[in-house]
Amino acid sequence: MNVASISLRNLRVRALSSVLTAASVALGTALVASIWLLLAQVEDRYRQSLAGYDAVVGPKQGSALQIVLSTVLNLDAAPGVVPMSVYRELRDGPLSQKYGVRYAIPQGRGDTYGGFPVIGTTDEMFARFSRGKDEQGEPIRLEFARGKAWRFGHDDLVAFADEYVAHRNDPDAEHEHTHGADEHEHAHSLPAPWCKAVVGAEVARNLGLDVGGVFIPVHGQDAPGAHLHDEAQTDVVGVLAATGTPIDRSIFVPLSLFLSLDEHDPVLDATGSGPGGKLTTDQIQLSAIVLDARHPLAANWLRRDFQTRSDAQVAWPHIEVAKLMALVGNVADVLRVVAWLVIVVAAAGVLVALYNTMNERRREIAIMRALGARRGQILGIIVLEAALVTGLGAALGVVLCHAAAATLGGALAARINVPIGAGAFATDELWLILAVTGLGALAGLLPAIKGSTTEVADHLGPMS
Amino acid sequence: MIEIRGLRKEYRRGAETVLACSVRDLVVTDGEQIALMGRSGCGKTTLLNLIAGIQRPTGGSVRVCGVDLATLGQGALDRFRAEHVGIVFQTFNLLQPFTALENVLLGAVFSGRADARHRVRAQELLERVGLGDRTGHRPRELSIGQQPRVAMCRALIHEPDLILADEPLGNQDRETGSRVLQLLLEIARDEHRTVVMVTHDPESAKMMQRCVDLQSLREAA
Repeated sequence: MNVASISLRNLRVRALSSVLTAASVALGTALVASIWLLLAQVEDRYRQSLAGYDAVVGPKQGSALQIVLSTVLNLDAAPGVVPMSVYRELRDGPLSQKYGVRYAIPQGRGDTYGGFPVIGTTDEMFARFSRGKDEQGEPIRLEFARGKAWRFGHDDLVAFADEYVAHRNDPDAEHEHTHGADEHEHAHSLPAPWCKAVVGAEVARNLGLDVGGVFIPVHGQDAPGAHLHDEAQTDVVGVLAATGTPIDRSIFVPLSLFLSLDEHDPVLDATGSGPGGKLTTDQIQLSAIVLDARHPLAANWLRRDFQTRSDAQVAWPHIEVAKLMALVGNVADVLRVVAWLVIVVAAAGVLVALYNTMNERRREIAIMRALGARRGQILGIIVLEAALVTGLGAALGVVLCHAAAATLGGALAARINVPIGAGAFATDELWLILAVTGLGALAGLLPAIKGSTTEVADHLGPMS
Repeated sequence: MIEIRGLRKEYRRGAETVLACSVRDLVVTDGEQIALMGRSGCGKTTLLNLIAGIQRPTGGSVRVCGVDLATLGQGALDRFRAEHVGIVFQTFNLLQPFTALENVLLGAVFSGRADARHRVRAQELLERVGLGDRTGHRPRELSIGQQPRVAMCRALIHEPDLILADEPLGNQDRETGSRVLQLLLEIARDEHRTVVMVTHDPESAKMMQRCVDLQSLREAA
């Protein structure tokens, strides 16, 4: 038996009060721990989203953050279009040489299916994109869980563009892509090799889409009255293995399919910019171009170069995600302050609960003092009670946070588009428990001082 | 063991000064068992408190085990009490959250020396006073005759040189009270402990080696 066991016994005697106090501390601690856990997972998720590339070239309209939100994180609509001339400069033109571009992959965005974006692109992405790095620092390439990629590469895109422009420039040809009230009446079937899709792991799981499945993309957001692209009955030919990035929540189709869909005009400006007022392939419009360069700073140099151009801008995902996290961080700071306030209030509850018991405990304290307990020992017993109850509450709070993340993470993930898991217990959480325990001990100090200065002779019992 | 000279304890009650206890001279030798008697309010409990170092005198000196208590700071005084003094309170003052065994062990906890040996001694003491089968009982589960025996064991657990007992028989009937007191005195004799007991009961006082009337020790005001 020792001083600590006296504290423990006192807590047991006042079990209800101890449990309620610990519960209020647990609530505050769970709040702080949940904010930490949530932010860490959001930050991890956003940093992992970069799929190995350095930069995104997007439209001049909108901000660099919008381009990253749209292209990297699938969180926003594309703010505008980029001409194919920019893609060519980056793919095999002078900019490619100047900046040592490793790859430049075009994207067309604007359609969805089941709430997931349908992205038109080239098959180069399946070989080039990665999901983090392995232990040797090498990028981990995308893998197929089932099926395989469709075929539509850069050369196919060039051929498509040439053919399309030639068709548009032919005065005798019927132009299907004319905007007008009766456009929907001209529904047509698109070539079968284009109507192929590769879906991300989460799309497959959520929508039950698997190899052999068929779907019809929706123009714009999937909402009542939205236009269905009936002309594009699209077959799923591959399902990507989970990456933990927004790729899991994307549907990839050949860019030719995307550009050929109804209400998608692949040409930036109907006025021809070529000789004799003819359209050129440079006028074909894209939503973004994802690129990676050999030199780590090339993206930044490219960004500076594009500042003076009017046709496109370069967004640096690392910077934009950092800015985004700073924005999120400001909100998180407010949440943290609120959560710590809850803990401080809980600690004040410990103080009040203990302080109120001091009067009824005066006799008990006087007896212990008469038995030889020093003031410091009484102080220690009471402070330890406060520390034990808050420490227990804090530990419970951290466990509660992880349990809540494990059970409610799925529902939350659907709302914020970031998968939330129970996560591993972090060292920071140990510090959190210690900090809350320290705060509780501090809160116990005032009642402890009151208790330890109890006048012994006055509270021992009747005088003879 | 105890040497008291010109001891006074006064209280302030508003403008008035109240003399709570006054002892001209009192010497108690090692192993002696004395009864302190006197009318209610004459300062018997105050005297025990002064001997135990629970209260500080207004004047005079108290030496216990050769130590002038006035020379000890508060912490040292508490430690001195924890090591050298065992107290049996008038109302037993057992702590409700603890079992009989734990209440006994509390007497050794604050000296910082409570160990397995004390647990064995606590068990032995409780068996000796007939409570070997009540060690796990809480005070409210013990009879009025059993509670003072636990209090006695608590006063003896840390092998103090001096046992102070303030009407240790409480409201017990004479027969039970005599038996309990007999036990305390027996153990004290066996272990050569000094006992100072406050009592109103002449029969109990007769069981002690010496009986002192506190009023006869009062200093002239």
